[in-house]
Amino acid sequence: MAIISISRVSKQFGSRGDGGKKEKFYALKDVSLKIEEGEIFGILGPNGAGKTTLLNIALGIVYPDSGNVSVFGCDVINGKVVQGISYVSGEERFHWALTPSDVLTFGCILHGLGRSERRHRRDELLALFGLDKVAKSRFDVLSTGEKMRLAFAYALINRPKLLLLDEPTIGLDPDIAITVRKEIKRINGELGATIVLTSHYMREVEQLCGRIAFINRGKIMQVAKVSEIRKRHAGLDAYFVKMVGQR
Amino acid sequence: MNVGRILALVYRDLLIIRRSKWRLVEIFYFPLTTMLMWGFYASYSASFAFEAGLLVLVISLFWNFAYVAQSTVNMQMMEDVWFGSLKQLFLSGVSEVEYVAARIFTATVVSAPVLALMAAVAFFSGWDFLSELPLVAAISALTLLTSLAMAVLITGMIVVLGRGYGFLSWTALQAFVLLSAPFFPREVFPGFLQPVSAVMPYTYIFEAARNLALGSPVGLWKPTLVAAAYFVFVWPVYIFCFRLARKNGNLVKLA
Repeated sequence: MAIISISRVSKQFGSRGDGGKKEKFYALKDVSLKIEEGEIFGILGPNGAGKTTLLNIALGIVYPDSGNVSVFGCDVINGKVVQGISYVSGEERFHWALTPSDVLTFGCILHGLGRSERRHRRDELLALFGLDKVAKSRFDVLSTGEKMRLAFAYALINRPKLLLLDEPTIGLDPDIAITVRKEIKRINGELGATIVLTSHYMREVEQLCGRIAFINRGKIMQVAKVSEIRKRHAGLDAYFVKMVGQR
Repeated sequence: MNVGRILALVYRDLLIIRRSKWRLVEIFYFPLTTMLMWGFYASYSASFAFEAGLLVLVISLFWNFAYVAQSTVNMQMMEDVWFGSLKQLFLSGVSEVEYVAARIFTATVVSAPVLALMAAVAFFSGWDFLSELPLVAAISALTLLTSLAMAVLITGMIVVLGRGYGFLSWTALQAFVLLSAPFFPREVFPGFLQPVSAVMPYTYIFEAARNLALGSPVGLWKPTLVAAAYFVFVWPVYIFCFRLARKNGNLVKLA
C-alpha cells in the first residue's frame, strides 16, 4: 500500500535574477512518486534539486501549484492536518530555554499521553537516546550530537507510522552519524515505520535505503532499487556523478 | 480543534516565559513603569488639572493592557520563528487555529496579573474605580477581546509577509491605537481621518474609558459590537493567510 502518493506535482518559486528582476523557476516539475508502507526510501540529488521542497509538499507545509499529494490516503492540500507523521532535519532546533525533559514532556502532552504514561515515555526516550544525563540542561548548551538525538527522541514520541528525515546526519561527527543510522534502521525494523530520507551521503543511502528517487532540477530522473544501482554502477557515488551529468 | 494540543502549547509557552527573564521583564516592566509615570503625573496634576491627569492615567491603563495582550501572542510566535521551532510545531500535528488559540490562552493568563498591577497603581494614584468595578471589568474584557483579534490578524500578516515583518509584533498596534483616538474624541481628527477612526478597533473602547474616567454615562453596545465584529472577522483572514503562505512558500521560509 502506498503511504505517500504524489501525482504530477509542480511547484514554482520566484527569485531575483541577475538584473534584480523577479523570475520564476521550477522547484518541482511534473513529479510523480509512490512510497510504499514499511520501506526506507531515499531522495537523492544535488543542492537545490528540489528534495526538501518535495518533503515539504508531502508534509503539507508547502502547497503545490498543481498535482495531488496524499499521505495515508488523506489529501494534504485541503488544510487537513495528518497525524502519525514525524519529521527530523539536520538543522533541528528547539527553543533554547527548554531542556530535553521539557521538550519530551511537551511532546507527550501534545500527543495526548496521560500523566503517568507521559512520565514513562519521556524517561524511556531519554534513556534510549542516552539523554538522561543532560535531561535538565538547556537546549542551547547541548552538543550537536545530543541535539540530534533529542530530535529523534521527540520524533518518536507518537510512535510515527511515517518518519521524514531531511539530511539527518549533516554536520555530525562520524561516530554520531553511525549511531543515527543505526537508530533509523531500528525505527524501521522494530517499529515498522516507513522512512523517507534525503541525503548527500551515498554511503548512508546504500546502508539504509531499499529504493531511491534521483531528483535534479525539479524532475525525478529515476526511481530504482539500490541493489539494482549497485549492479549497474561502481557504487552510488559513481551513479550520483553520472546522474548529475545528465542535465 | 484539539484542546489537549492547545494545552500542550500553553504549557510550553509558560515554561518559555518563565525561563526567559527578558520576556518577564518586557511583559511587566513597560506597562508598570508607564503607569507609575502617569500615576505620579495624575497625583501632581490633581490640584490644577485633575480630570486631564485622570484621563491620561485611565487610557494608559487600557492601552498598556491592549499592548501586553496582543504582543504576548505575537512575541511567542516570533520566538518560534527566531529559534527555528515553528516548523517542528506544525509538523507535530498542530493546526494553525490550535497554534494561535493556545497563544490567546497564554496571553490571557499572562496579561491578567499585569492588568491587576496596573489597576492597583491607578487606584493609588487617585482613580477610585471600586464603585465602577463592573464597568472597568467590562471595558477590560472588550480590550482583551479586541487585542486578541488584532494579534490573530498580525500573526496572519507576518505569516504572509515573512520574517522581515516580525517587527509588526511590537509596532502594529501603535497605529491602530493612534487612529482609535485614545485621549480625545475622534472629532478632533481632520475630516478625512474621522471615518477611518470610526471603524478602528479601539475607538469605542477608549470612548467608554474616557467617559468612565470623567464620570459621564458609559455606552457599551458599540465597543461590544466592534470587538465582536473584529474577533469574528480575523479568523477567516488568518486561515486565508496561512493558505497563501503555504502556496507561495513563505510559511516554510518563516519556519
